[in-house]
Amino acid sequence: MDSLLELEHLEVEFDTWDGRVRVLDGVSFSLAAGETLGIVGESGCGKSMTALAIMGLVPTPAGHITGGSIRFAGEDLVRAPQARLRQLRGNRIAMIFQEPMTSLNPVFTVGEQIAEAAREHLGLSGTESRHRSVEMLRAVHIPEAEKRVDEYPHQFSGGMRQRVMIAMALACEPQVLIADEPTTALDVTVQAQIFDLLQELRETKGTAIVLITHDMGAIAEMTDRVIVMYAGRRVEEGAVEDILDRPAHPYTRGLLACRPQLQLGKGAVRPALREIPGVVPPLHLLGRGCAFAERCPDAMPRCRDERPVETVVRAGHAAACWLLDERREAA
Amino acid sequence: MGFVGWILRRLAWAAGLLLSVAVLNFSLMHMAPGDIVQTIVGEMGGASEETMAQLTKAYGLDRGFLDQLWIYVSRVAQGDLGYSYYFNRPVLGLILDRVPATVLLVFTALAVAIIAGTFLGVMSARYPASWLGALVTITALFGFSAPVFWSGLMLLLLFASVIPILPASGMYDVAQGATGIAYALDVAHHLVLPALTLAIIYLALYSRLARASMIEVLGSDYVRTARAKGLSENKVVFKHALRNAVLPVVTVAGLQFSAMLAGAVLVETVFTWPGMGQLAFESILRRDNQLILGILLLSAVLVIIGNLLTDLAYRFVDPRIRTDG
Repeated sequence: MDSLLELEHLEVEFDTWDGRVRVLDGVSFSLAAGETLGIVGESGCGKSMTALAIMGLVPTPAGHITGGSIRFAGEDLVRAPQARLRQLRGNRIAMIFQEPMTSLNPVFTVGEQIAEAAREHLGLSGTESRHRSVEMLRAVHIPEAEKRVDEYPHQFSGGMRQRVMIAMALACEPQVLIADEPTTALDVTVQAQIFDLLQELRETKGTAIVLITHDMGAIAEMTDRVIVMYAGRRVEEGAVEDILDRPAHPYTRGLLACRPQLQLGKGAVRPALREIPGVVPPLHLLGRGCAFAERCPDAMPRCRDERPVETVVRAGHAAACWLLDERREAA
Repeated sequence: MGFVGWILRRLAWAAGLLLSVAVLNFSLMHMAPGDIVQTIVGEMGGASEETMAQLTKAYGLDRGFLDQLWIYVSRVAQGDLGYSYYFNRPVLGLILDRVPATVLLVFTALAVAIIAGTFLGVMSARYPASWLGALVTITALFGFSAPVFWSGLMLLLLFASVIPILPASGMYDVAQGATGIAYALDVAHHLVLPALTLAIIYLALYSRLARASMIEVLGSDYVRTARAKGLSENKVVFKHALRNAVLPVVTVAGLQFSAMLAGAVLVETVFTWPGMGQLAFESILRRDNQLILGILLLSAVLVIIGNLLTDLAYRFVDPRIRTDG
């Protein structure tokens, strides 16, 4: 499969009061045209930073990409000049954010905010770009698009604003759409609508999607492949069925166990909500070993001393855990 | 409620406000010791009881307070602000002669302070670690701490005496007697120092305000969205961020409009700028009550206009304010 977007051993470091901290440590994945890739993990594990790095928006001056590559259609974005990145951003690669309430500029009409990208990248005129805005609002199923195009963000509900964000991101028909927790701030019913919309757009426009989330339900419904991140590292990668049904890494198993289970009926026992004990460690305190060792129920002495290498479990499914290595040796 | 309704409501409020201001001012002046008669008698070098009683009657000061108040307010309502005994002219004409100079001075200073202050603030927010940021901080601290009369005198010393490129006083060159564009240029030339003096303190404040506000806005989600759209840094800063960052500056500028008017009194005195401030100064020295009251009322009108303009600017900048009339 030809990959459209390919990350190889991406490293991002931040200057902090505690010194230089590596927030992304050798993250790799590849995304084919039209594919949907899920990135899961707890807060602070580097999901959003991965997205920002792809967009060339790692916060400066504190953050730096210090290693690895991001290839988009063969072009290395890490080494590309800012001007080139700007041509791609919002044009070939677009992004939608977690907070639709604050991600739209309150002082411009939604139409203007959608049209802007089309004028910038497609060279459309004022009238053409306005038509484009209306067309995009229709595509994301906003009723009375001709009228609402001149309204301001505060006149829209949360779900509608996220639709506007999607319309804005898709205005130039990007090949890759990065959705960073697009439904976290929304009502459950609205969440489903937004996912349906993303599915539909992927099917009609063939846009490849990187879906960043901690919602395993969304992963199951939306994605083809999944990478699991922990403390800035990729700990597992695989097809969505493998990750959900046969997780190989203890962290992935922990994440899956945390899902609340719904049971109906009179005699249903309400199972206790599971959680992974502990929190993601401060990145500057990570030891030489596995980042998850401190919280891992199956940790061995080796896990604290040596960083686990990635082991292929089956075709397209790999995890970085010493347990897999042990098993193979035992077998 | 539409825009016209909003304006009409504001104007009705303004009328009520002006009436209260007139009553309050008159009461305050009435409570203050001394009156015109004493001043006139003082300047005459003393007079008999009889003459004083005559004068008191002539100026209507023998009537009761409410009577006097009623006469004053009803005259004001008809557009008659009284008569200045010192200048020997109707108060309204006297003030209207001076209003344009003050309005020119205050609005120029305000525009300079807002535009230059915002620009400096934005630049120092964009490059916080640069020399520009440090310069803005120092200038702001200095400009804000120096009193107007002192910075005025220093500027006067520097640009009228050490490097004599700007006129030291007045509003135009009497000797030239220029007209048309030459006159306008002459006035502008005279305007530089007073306007700059009046602007400095506010320029300092606004640059700090704009800087803080800009730093906050640059970290906001919608600025990140604008960047993610692939807009150039200039468009991100001057289109998406600035319009949001300028709101606090507009708010504070509106609130301080009256303070600026008060500051104009000092500046006009230092630079002998023939505006209302100078007139106010003289009227207080001469205890010309009618004139003082007139100036206070006209100042209230200017402040109300200033606030109205602020609200208009606000509605223009922030669409969220337009819907809730």
